[in-house]
Amino acid sequence: MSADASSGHPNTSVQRATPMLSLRWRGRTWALAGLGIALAVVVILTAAIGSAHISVGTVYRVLVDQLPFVNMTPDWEANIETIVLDIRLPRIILAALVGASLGMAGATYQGLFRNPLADPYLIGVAQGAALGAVVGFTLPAGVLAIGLGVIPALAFFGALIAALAAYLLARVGRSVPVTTLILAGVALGAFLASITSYLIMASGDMVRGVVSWLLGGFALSDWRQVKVLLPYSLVGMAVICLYARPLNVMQLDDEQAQQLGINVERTKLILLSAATLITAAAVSFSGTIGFVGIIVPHAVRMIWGPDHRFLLPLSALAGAIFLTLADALVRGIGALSGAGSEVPVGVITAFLGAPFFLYLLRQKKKAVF
Amino acid sequence: MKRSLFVRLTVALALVLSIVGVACTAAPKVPGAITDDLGRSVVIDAVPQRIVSLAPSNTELLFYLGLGDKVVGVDSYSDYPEAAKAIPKVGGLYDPDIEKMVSLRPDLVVVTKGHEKQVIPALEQLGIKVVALWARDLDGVLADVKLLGDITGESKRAGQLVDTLRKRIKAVSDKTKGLSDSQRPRVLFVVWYDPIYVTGKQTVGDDIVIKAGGINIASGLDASLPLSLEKVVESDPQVIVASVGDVGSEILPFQWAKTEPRLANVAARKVAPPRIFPAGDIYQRPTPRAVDALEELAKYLHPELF
Repeated sequence: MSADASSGHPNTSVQRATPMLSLRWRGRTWALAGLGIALAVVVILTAAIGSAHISVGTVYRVLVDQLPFVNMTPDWEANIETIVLDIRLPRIILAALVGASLGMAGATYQGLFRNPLADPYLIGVAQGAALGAVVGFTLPAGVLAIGLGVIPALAFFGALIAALAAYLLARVGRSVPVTTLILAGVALGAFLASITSYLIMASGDMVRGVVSWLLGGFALSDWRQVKVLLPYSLVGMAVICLYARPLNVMQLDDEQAQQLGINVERTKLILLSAATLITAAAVSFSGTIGFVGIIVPHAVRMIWGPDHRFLLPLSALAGAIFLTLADALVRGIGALSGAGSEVPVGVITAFLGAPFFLYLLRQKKKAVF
Repeated sequence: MKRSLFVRLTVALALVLSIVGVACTAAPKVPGAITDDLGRSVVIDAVPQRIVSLAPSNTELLFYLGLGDKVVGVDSYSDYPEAAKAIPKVGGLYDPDIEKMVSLRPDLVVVTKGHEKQVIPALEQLGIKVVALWARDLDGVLADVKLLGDITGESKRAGQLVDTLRKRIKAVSDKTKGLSDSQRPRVLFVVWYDPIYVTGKQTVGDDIVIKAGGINIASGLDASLPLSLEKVVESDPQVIVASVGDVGSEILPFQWAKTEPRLANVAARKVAPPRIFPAGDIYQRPTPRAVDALEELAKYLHPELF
């Protein structure tokens, strides 16, 4: 059997777990199921939150009416249905998808780079996306008017091009040392950010739109965006999960992983591509939402351990729950303010995420020492 | 001898005073201390001859008063009237080039809200007189015309212009003020769509919508905060006034209001043709042209009255 074959079928070790480990296995399997159910509950519950005054009962009657074989006589206006089904629901689903993508991409990057500071934006994805989006904002109206999807498309390609450039810049012969990649990513990111900053300065009256994109949010999310993002996210996440075991082995170091039969460079390239792709796709619609990609994988690792076979899917689920709740909070604040004006979700993720993370860090410290 | 000297001195003094008096009435009156729209007290000790404007609305006001030839520099957004485009540019709204401004040797810089943190202190430091204009409704625009007239020694002309504008505003509001709430369409004035910004309280747009005989749905809201799409749909506007600007991508809010699928069931979109009104820059700029906007919108909202 070639070295490649083992990395191609990495998911065969479930039955080989030792009895002593099986207890932990059971716990983590339960965690997977539990978080999955929690996500579903969060999605359903938060559908009731929003700045429009719609009673909880009406929200659920509108939702239940959509189920197959349920036919209610609508006692609500068409606009209520629009709000629940075409404004709130796609927004919640998109937040969950973006959270899942950022959570899993963050876990992948942290594993690949063996660096706790790694996040999905480490190799220039965020800065590339931001530059693409800001360029979009400076385009004349004629170009933008063709479709409202120009800015997401530019952000997406900006992100991919930036990551690819960082990868090529970091390549030494046939290999890409992770430290070099981090440095190339940071330098390239700073370079792109400088151009972005200048364009923002020069964008004049478009500055509100630009800043609000950079801070991230789901205010105008619709089903089209969900449809575009869904295939990228699902395929990317599936590929990453398939490579969970090689990623575990690569925690040793590149050389040992190679000796243990992992095609390190190929695995690295595949995982980087998949993680970058889902990050780029997520970011292009929601803006560069910070902290989800770095905090969620750490929190999951602190609670359920570093095994990537669980860390990756659990990070996706936790990321989805976290961002769905954060966006629900955004909508809740909008409702309470009366005006329906919203705080950017990126502000919420940082404001809540960072203290929670610090709390976990302190807990961990107490437990260890 | 003593007395005759006193008489002669008195006569001389009287003569001098009368000459000064005549000179004073002939020459433009020096305004002295004025209070600008940011509540700053400014002493204008000479009629400004070289003026820099840092907002399109300020430029318009200066030209409106016939002071175009005294304007030596404008911000890069000043696009009206046509003659303003030929005047040297001193940078953007909030990042003006101070050095460039100083090189134009202005004796007055007319700024606006947003300049108070950096631009005003920097200019004052250099000993340049700064006056801020910031009208938040049509009355504020009239007050600005008056204030700028006083500062530039054009009080009389400004007074006449203000009277004409006031009459035009009154002609519209006299017809609309008798309308009951049910006769007034609910209007939402969309300035930007992603995120959604609307004209809320303390904006010229709000005043225009109300005086034109509409109910501004966002009247009580802070215009500097975005509004959620949910709220827009829920408020079910009967007329959407959407910004088209005069340049660049500003046309997008209008296109959005016409095409956003989730607005399809809103009252303004359910009628044919949709009640979506394209609003140019004059609907937002605090300038005398806002009165044109008022007349135009009143006609659109209440064709039966005009």
